[in-house]
Amino acid sequence: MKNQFEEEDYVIFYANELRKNPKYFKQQKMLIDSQIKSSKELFQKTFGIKNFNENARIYLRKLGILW
Amino acid sequence: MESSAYKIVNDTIILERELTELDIFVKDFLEILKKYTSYLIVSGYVSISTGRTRGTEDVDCLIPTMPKEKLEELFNDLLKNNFWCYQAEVFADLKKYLSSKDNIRFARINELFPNMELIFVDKSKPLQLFELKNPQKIKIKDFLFMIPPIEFEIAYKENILAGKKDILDAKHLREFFLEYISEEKLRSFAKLIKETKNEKSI
Repeated sequence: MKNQFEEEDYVIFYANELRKNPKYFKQQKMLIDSQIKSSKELFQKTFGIKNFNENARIYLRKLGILW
Repeated sequence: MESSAYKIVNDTIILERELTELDIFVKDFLEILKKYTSYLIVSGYVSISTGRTRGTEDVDCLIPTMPKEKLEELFNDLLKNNFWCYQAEVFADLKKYLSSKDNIRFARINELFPNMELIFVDKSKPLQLFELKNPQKIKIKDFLFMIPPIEFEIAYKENILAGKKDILDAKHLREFFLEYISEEKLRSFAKLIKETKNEKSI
């Protein structure tokens, strides 16, 4: 299990390094772009294209995001 | 004051990085939104856009409450430009959500995340109204958008949201903007936030 103190230290360390050296933004871009690509593929596969909205709403209701 | 990851030009924070897919989503959405209203991007995306490495599913966007007719035009424009609304296929079906002052979410067609969560702000939300009226410009390449003053965002995360994720976001902002942050502004915003919070809880 992650320790709050360790995670906090990491956040501060990373922000400090990033402030001095923007090359670390490249890693963040890879992470974000990869998350979005995976999410898109996963949900299109799960819900299909034809009834995407309808199936997505069923899922969102289960999550409590929609009522 | 100079960091190599950002610079300040004419009160605008300029980030020295490329656009991510998340930025492009927000940029495309705001291109439409800003034709109809002022706005403010708040919360997680403020931290993420300035380098915090964590995932997010939604981007929170404050907008002032607007007449139904104008909101309908915005809704239809978004649908015409490849977004879909979680709550409704047609504007008329939004009625129950709008009457209960729910936030409205949009994503790109055939995608679920990321989504843009529109949060309607009026006098009943004085802190959000305050930040909406005091925007800070921030720019990544050709993408210019509005966020709260960094000090306000930190104080809000520390004093109102205060979850683990929010506290870590605030720590990121404090460290990343170390040379930029005004301690005086931070204290002043924290005071305002605490006072407003206390008034609201009476």
